[in-house]
Amino acid sequence: MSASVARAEPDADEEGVPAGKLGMWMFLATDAMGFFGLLVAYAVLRVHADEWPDAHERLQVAAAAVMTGVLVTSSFTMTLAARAAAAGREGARVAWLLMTLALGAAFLGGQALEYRGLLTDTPAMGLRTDTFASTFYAITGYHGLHVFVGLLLIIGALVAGRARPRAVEVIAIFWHFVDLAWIPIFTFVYLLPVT
Amino acid sequence: MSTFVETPKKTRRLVLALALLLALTALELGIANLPVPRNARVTALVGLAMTKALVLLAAFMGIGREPRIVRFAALVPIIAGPGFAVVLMLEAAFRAVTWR
Repeated sequence: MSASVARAEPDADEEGVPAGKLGMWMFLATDAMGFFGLLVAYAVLRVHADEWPDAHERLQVAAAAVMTGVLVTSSFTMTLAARAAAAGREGARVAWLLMTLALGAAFLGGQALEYRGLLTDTPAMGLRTDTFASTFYAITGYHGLHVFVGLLLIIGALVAGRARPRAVEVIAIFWHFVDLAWIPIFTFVYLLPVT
Repeated sequence: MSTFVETPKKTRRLVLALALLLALTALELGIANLPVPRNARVTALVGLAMTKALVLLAAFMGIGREPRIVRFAALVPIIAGPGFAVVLMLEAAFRAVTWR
């Protein structure tokens, strides 16, 4: 970014990175460590377990794939919302944000249905059933909490009214990260075959 | 993104990225059920997950357009996480050898 643009942004550093944006990236760098910690713990427990259940026998893998598709599509609509905000197209910004909100809510709804199914199945997969169940709820629950926070941020951007491109851009970064974090979770928890 | 100028080409690129991500997800689902050796499936699934993450980072997050400091902040956990996993794997392998 040129020096003139950097001067136009009072909250930007010498490279022209706005403080809010840089702060979000820094936060995500630490948050990513949290996800890595959980996934590494999952991997260690899985490798050291005498027996590990086949995820395909317990989880609705096809439904999780659909949820993945919903989340990926929400990243697409969020990018369009950020671009509309940057271009000053208010109607498009609101429409794409609403679409992202709907897709994110659909993902969370899918997760809630999945949990309900698992908890009422016979035999039920409760929090303390075994290590697989505990780690499954811990990892997907931690991710679900991020989706929920993302939805609150999107609602905040909608309620705030007038377009603030920088705010929408920072929210978009967080939302893409939520999508990014789901990719290894889907692979490691739902798809990887057992020995 | 405030300096963004929207063009049909850029929008098309986004649509292509979305289509690619959806196709890769469907491919993952297919590979997970293939009757091939476990190691081949694991390698393919991890490779596909990494490809999806890179597509998302490049197309939607636009990491390539960000200043160096932002790219550095984003790359630290991406490198440190797997690095930590490798250390753990080596440590587990070392313990397995020394406990015999």
